[in-house]
Amino acid sequence: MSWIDSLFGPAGLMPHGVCFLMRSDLIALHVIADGLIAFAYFSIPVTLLHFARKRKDIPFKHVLALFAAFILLCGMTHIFGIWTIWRPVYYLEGVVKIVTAIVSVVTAIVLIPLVPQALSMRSHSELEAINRKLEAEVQRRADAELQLRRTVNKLTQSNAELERFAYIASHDLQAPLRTIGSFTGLLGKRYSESLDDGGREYLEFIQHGVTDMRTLINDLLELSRVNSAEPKIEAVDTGDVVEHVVEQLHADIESSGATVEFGELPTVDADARSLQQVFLNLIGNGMKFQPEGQAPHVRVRAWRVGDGWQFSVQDNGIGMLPEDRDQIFLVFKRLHTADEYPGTGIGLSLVQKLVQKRGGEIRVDSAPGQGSTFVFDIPDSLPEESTLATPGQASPEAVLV
Amino acid sequence: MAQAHILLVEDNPADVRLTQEILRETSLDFELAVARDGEQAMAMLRRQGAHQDATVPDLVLLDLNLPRKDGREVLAEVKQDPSLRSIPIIVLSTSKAESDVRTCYDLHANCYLTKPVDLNHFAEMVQMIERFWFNLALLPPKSRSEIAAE
Repeated sequence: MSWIDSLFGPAGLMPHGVCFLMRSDLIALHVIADGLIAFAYFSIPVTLLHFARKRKDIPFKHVLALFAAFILLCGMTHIFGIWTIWRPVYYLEGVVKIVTAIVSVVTAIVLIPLVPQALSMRSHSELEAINRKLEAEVQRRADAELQLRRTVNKLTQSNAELERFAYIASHDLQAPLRTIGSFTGLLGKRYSESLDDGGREYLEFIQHGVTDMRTLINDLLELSRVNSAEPKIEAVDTGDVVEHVVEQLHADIESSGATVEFGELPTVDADARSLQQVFLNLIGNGMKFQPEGQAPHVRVRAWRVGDGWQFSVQDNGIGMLPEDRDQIFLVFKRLHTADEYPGTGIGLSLVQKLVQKRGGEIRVDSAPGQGSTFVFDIPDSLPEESTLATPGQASPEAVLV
Repeated sequence: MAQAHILLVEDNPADVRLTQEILRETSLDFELAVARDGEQAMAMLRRQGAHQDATVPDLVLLDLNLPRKDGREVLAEVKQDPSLRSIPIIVLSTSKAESDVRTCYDLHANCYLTKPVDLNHFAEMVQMIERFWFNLALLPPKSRSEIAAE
């Protein structure tokens, strides 16, 4: 007899039912019990398999597989419990038991080193606590962001108000100043004869004061306009702009014997009025800050750098110390007294704002007695919308009806 | 030419006086009537109430910011009135705002000027007004009733 025959009920062995004396109630009891256990054992791996397929992220999948096999095999041993009632397949049953034993021992061994790993895993309550902490952190950041946005809004608003105030104040200052200037002028024209030298000198002081204040107001108006007025970007021939500025400075050029030199200048996308202001201030400064008796020479050039144009306005003037180079762009910052060189200290600050608004930068190369070269750039691309005038805000001009 | 009748609508006494003084320096034979606000200006133009003897002006110099009825309203009313709309109105304002300029021309202002800050420029402007409107331009002839009223 082959060993296979001995697996399926070797001769001489009694089926297990004999022990039960083939009593039907006893057999039924065992069959039902073993059947239910087997059914439950078979269903557990199916459930586990289903769970593992749905939750792809579960850890220790190989242990889960071992465990499933172990339970499946346990189920099998109960099937054999039923089978052996009628057939004495004790060898086969023994083999299944051995396999079950091996699988259970392996599972038991594999399980041991997993304990510390499983312990180090976050428990559900721990995860909840972390989650709560994260939520609190998210809330805290949202609050901070809201606060920041509120502050920015407040600042933007107060900035706009300040600009409007500056504009209205300077605009309204002009009316009384016009009256003072006009009547001082009339007084000088009509009654100058009846005044003595002292009186005429006083009148002159008043008129100088009026002129200075008018310049200051105009400069302030320009400065407040930089942020509020919407730039009108168009193709502007910088050659035309410089030519126009030279015409504007005609009187000063004549009186000082200045030369303003410029060759081919490019056409760029910019706000013509702003560009005009930039060149007017830079060329005007180049002519103004000169040593006594020297004929000013101002040279305007342009060249390509990267993706934009770079312009330079170079003069043969008095120049400045290296430590003053950044200072000069501060509003109201002046390096000289009004007697030496008149001015409001607004010009270069205005120029810098205008250049930056167009997305460029300005710097100066200078040394005392060596003249100054102002270099600024105009990139081909326009700056982001945010650096332009804030939309939805009325320009001061619109407010002043 | 006959005496020029100018109506100046202006609430600032200094500006009134200044305009008067500068006009006096020109060769123009003029009579300057002054309205200190928009309502008075309309009453004078329509010869109503205390202004029944007012002369219909050849030219109106109109400030924009006036008490009670402002310059834009005066402009709108005059230009909608068939008996008044032929009178040239020169808007004389401190405002350089595009919106103001556009509004005034929309309301059929004949000319928009900004008040120069400098006295000499102001004088030049008045001289130009005189030369253009009273020497070069032909003004609408006055109707019989207007002449009778003078």
